[in-house]
Amino acid sequence: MSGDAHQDNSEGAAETHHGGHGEGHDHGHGHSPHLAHHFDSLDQQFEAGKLGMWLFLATEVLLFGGLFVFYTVYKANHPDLFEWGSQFLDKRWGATNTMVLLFSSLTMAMAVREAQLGRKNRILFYLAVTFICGLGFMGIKYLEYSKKFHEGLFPGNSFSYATVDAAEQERARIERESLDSLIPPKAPEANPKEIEPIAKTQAKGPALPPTGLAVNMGKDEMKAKLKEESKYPSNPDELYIAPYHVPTVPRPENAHVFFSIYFCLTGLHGIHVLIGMAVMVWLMWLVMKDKIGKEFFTPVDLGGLYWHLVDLIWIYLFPLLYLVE
Amino acid sequence: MMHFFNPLLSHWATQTGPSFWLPAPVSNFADTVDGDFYFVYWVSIFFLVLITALLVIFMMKFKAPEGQKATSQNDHNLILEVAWTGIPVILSFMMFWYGYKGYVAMATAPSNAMTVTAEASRWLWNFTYPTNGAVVPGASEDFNEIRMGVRDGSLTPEAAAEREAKVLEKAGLHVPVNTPVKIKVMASDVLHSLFIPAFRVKKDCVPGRIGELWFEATEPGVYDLLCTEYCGQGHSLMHSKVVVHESQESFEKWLEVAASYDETLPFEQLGEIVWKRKGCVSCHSLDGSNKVGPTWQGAFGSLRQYTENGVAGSTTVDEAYIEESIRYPMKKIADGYPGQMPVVKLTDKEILWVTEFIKSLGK
Amino acid sequence: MNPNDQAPSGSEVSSQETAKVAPETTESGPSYLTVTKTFASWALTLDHKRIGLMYLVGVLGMFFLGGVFALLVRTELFSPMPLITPLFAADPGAQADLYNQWFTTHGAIMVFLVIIPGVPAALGNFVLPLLLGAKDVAFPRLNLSSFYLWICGAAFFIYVLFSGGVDTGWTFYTPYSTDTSTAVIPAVVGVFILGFSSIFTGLNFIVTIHKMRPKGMTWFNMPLFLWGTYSTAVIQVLATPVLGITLLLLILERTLGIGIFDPQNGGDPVLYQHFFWFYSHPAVYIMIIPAMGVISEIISVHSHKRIFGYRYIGYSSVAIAIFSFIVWGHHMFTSGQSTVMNIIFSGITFSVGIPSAIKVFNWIATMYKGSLTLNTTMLYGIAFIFLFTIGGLTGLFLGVLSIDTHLHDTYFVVAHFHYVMMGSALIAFIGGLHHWWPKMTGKMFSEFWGKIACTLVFIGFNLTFIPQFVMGSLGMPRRYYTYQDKFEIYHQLSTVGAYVMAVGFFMTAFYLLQSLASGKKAPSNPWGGNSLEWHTPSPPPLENFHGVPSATDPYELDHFDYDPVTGNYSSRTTAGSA
Repeated sequence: MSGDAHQDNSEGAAETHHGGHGEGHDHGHGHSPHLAHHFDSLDQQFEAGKLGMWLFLATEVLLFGGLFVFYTVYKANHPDLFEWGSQFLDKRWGATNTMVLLFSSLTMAMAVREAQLGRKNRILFYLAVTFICGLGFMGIKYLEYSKKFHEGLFPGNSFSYATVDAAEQERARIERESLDSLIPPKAPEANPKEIEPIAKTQAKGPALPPTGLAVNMGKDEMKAKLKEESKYPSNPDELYIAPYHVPTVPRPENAHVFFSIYFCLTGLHGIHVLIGMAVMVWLMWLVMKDKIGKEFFTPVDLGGLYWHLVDLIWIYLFPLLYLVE
Repeated sequence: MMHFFNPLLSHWATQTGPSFWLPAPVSNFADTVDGDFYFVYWVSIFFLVLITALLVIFMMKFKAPEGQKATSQNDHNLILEVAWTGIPVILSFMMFWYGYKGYVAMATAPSNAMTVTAEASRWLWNFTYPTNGAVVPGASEDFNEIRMGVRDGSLTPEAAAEREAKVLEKAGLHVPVNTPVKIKVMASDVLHSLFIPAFRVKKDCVPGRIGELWFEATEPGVYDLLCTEYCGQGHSLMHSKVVVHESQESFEKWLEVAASYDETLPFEQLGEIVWKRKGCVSCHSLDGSNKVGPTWQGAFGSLRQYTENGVAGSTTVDEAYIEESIRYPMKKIADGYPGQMPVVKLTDKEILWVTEFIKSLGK
Repeated sequence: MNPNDQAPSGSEVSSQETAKVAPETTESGPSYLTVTKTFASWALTLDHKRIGLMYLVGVLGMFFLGGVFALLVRTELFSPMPLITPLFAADPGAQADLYNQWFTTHGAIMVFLVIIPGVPAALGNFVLPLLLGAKDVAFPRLNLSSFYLWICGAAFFIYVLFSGGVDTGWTFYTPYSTDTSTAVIPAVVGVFILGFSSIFTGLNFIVTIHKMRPKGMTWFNMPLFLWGTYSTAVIQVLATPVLGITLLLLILERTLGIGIFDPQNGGDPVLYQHFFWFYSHPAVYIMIIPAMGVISEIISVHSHKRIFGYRYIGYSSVAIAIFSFIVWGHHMFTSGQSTVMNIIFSGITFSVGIPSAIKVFNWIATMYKGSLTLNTTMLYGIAFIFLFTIGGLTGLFLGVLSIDTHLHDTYFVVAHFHYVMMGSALIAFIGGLHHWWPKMTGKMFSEFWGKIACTLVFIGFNLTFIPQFVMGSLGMPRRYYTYQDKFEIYHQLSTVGAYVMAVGFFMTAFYLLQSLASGKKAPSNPWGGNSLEWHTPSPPPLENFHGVPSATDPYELDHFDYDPVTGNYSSRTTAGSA
């Protein structure tokens, strides 16, 4: 995504600029080394930087705003997509990530506070904690994404949930049967007749009309089945479908659009978190080089604003995607 | 509908021939639209003349050599500001109001309107008449040929008119005069837009949506029907004609004929009619040149390389392959072509005729 | 402008303040052009004047390229039969494709690479800090990076030219753009990058105007060009990100088939149009508002008279900027959006017309009882008023729902937006270029050739586009490679006009280049303007001003004496003390 790379660059440019040391200012009579030649005072420079950052944040809000509007339009036109799709998202991971980011916002605010007081070690500490929070967030995102990819929940043309779904059913059935053979007295009758044809037809490809467990079974029937399944010891194999992954509503047409929106929103947000983490590293470097102090803490301040925005966007994303009822 | 604001306009708005600015008004909306048009037009002319006159007068009167002082430095006049804010506000509101009234009439079709479906695909029109299910092609290719013929002198105007009449026997959008007609517009591939200048109506054909427009033609005759939303290579060739019949009876008689084929003709000739009518012509040439799809010249019996679900394959072009390609156009895509063929619904007979036609084009 | 408080105090301020401006020191030091001479000193410069000049060269280069494609299109349309496309392609289908690529390339280059950055980035960059008496824009590095983003975007377009072109029209409407086999992705990436260039320029200007005004310059004694650039910058910052995300999704639609826009994947093509026009309608005002600012300067300075209705012009810029965000739907009256939406959008559309009308009347009132110097620059200013009037009035036809149903997507629309985008925005750009040319280069251009060229452009322009109004309302759809014979005469007139215009532009290029080589040396104030850029030598020194300038009343224009020998206007107070 070339655009984001540019965003990163120019943002860097905007910020390094404040830290710029007025190279080429030839008539510097007693100016602070932090003051660029074309500003009259550090105050003016700080104000300018802050206004610039707020404007930049406004563009960010509008960038995401566009996606939120797409979300709203599709939610209004195809609510079934969201009901179905959100069941693949684990609220627990989402909530954890929300906590992680909220906490990181706190540490970021602390870092800004320490920067104003000029306490070097403490700034470093809080920046590092913020960075680690970002890392933790991305780690959880990695787990979530790999689960989706594994299940074939890709955006767009590569969406292959139907195939994977069928394969999983088949595998679960075989496993169950093998378990049955181990503990015959307790095993209830599996229902291979219902599942086998799915696997066979689905194997042909996703072009076929949407089918799945839910389609071939009534809700009650399925609930009963799930209850039965839960009697068995949980399968250590990660391919096993956890209960929250089995949708309780039939798969709507064009189900992949939910994941398009999910990946666009969380992906763009993820990229922003990565950029934020890079900013943390750069800020730590500035602090270590003693370029941040009581009288010049603009970069930390602006970096903080950016990080809070990234957090704020997640606060909206979490309920919109994970908590759809 | 006459407008009270300028008696001069009524002359323009109710004349039957084309004016300098607008084509002949031949639908129930034409008078309204033209009346609105000329209202805005005269308002615009007034302001343009006023502004131009002021510019020219000031240029002549206040022209001065370098260094001369202006005779006034006055920079405000509340009355003027109020006037030139207020008058445009009032005029704009009037314009909006007339446009609104005209548009609401266009947007609400009467319930007794006869319905015709217009389906656009690259780059042809098909009109379906629900009363007997007749699917009538737009025959863009024929009209283009006639146009070219007139231009290069191979067709006299009389011969062209004769040929056009012949084509229109089984093509074009036909409607009876003084009858409300509702056109449901749709598209099968990309955006198109149905435009009948003489009726002042237009509607985009959006894939996945069904749009609607209606009109009541007021003069029998033949009028242009055009595509106005850019749709690629053949966009400017994608036109057809609207025929307004002078009575319901002549319209119904036409509809009978349009739905049928003259089955006394040999199969190859019937196939050629299908080729034109069903729009194969816009993508498959007969002269060996490659358009969007492979040419039919010498196609039969040749070896065709294709891709099916991403897997390469090859086959001899035979009856089975042709039939499969017509029924499932996106299944085997000939190498070197974009694979844009729409599903053209042909009857078994039509497929037979087309196959014979392709056979007749040599091996 | 409120006469009671503004005019007297303004003139007092200026007579005191102008005295503080350092006397003419044209010879006293190197200008920004000569202070350093290496390639790197240009390529890596943080000086807004050099960046502005580099933008100017780039924009004019792209204007040439876009113009070549315009001439190709017009030449081809001289006849309804294939005329010049057969020179490039043998196959009839390929000939039509070629034509489609030409008009797409013409449109995309002119909109994204020429007109949008034209006035704000090229002229604005040069003039804005000078008008503010500042040494530079607030973020010089960001400024340089926007320029390189522009270069990068332009490079993508050049790449598209050599990789088979793109044939979607500059609007990239889906599903055609997700379906065609041409180079849509590089073109869209180019536009995306240009969008960020535009955002950063806008951001820079907003901060500069907010935070770097000199002492004594309130919002209401800023030159009107600053009001124009400010309103534009707000649109750039707020609208462009939406285009950015839309284009990103278009790329994803094409590569992954995410099903947002493509109906075959469950998407909605009309949604794309909403998003596209949510940006691209305000983008029209990104083009026209700064152009109006330029015209306010030109008309006032060359009439040697205070601008009439300062506050009305200033407020109307802001009003247009605000309204521009809520009228996008008027591009989609026939697309199948709901009737109610159409009616609302039509109503709001008329509200944009009012502030535009106010501006036109105020400009004309400015000329009344002025002392009009009818030089090339002023001729461009007057041409603008005429052409913009036509552009604005024909916009009324398109805002009226019933008429638009007939005119939508015909040549009437083509002619209308050319009157606004070219006849207004571009003519103002050329006018502004002449206005500030002496300041930028330190050279005077030939007025004789200038007036001839301006006349040719004016005649050629009207000859090109008036016939297009007629054929449009007669029912000639746009983007047609071939057309019915009855439109031939209109097309031929139009093509002839295009060539007349081209001759005018080439003439302009020649005399401007010639002025660089052998033009008369420009005085610091050749036109008698009083905004701050005229209080520094031509061309200005690296840091813009010798000494610290303070605010003047930019429209206090009657206290100058003209010196016919040097061609300079000097203020009486300065002249007395020198």
